[in-house]
Amino acid sequence: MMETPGYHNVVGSKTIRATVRLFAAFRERVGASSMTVEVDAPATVENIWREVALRCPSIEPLRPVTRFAVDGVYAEQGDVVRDGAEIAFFPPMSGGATSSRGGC
Amino acid sequence: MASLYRLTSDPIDADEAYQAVRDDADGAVVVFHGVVRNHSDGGRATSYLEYEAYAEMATTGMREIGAEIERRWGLSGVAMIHRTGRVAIGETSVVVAVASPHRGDAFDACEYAIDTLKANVPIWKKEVFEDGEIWVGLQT
Repeated sequence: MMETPGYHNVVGSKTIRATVRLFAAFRERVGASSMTVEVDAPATVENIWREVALRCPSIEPLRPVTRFAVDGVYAEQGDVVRDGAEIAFFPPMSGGATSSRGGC
Repeated sequence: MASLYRLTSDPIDADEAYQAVRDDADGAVVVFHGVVRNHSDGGRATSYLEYEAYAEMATTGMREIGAEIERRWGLSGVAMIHRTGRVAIGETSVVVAVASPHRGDAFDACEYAIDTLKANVPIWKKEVFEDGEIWVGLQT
C-alpha cells in the first residue's frame, strides 16, 4: 500500500515476515519442510512458535523438547526476530559428550 | 593438512577423508566410522535408519568443530562426512578423520569431534523398525 508523506497506513502496526524451517518430527506433523508466517512486530521466537502452533496444533506436544535457531544460530524463545529471518524448529539431537556413549 | 566437511546422500568414501586430512608431517590419522547397527538401544530389531539435516547449519557446525580442534590441539586436518537419507544396516553413516603428528592428539580430537557433532550439529536420526519408527531423542 503506497504511503503519502504525512499520512499513516490505515492498518497501523508493522508486521514481520519470517520463514520457518521444519525438521524431523516437526516436518512430519506439519506436513511441510518450510512455511512463511507473518506476525505483529516486535516479534520473538515465541511469537513465531505461537503462529505455527495455531495453524498446526499437532506440534504443541513437542514444545518441551523444541530447539530453535534463527538464521542458522541457536536461539531462545525470547530472542527477537527481524523481518526476513529464517527460524528453525527442531527436536534435540541424540547423544553427546555428556550422555551415554552407547549410541553411535 | 586440509579440512573437509560434507553432507551426502551417497555412500561415504572413507579413504577420501583419510587422504584429505593427512600430510607428510603426520604420524597418525584416526578415522572413525559410525555404522548403522541392527538393533536399537532398547533391543528392538532395526530395519534401517534415516538421517535428516538442517544443511546450512550442519556444515557451519562442522566447521566450528574443526575450528575448535585447531584451537585446542593445533590440528587443521579434520574431515567430517555425514550421510543424509536412508542408510542400511552395516553402512557407514558418518566418518570423522583427524590427522596429527602423534596419535594421542588424533584420538582425543576425533573423539571430541564425534561427541560434539552428536550433541550440537543439527542432524537427526530416525530409527525404522518392522512395526514402527521413532526419531531418536524424542522417546519419552
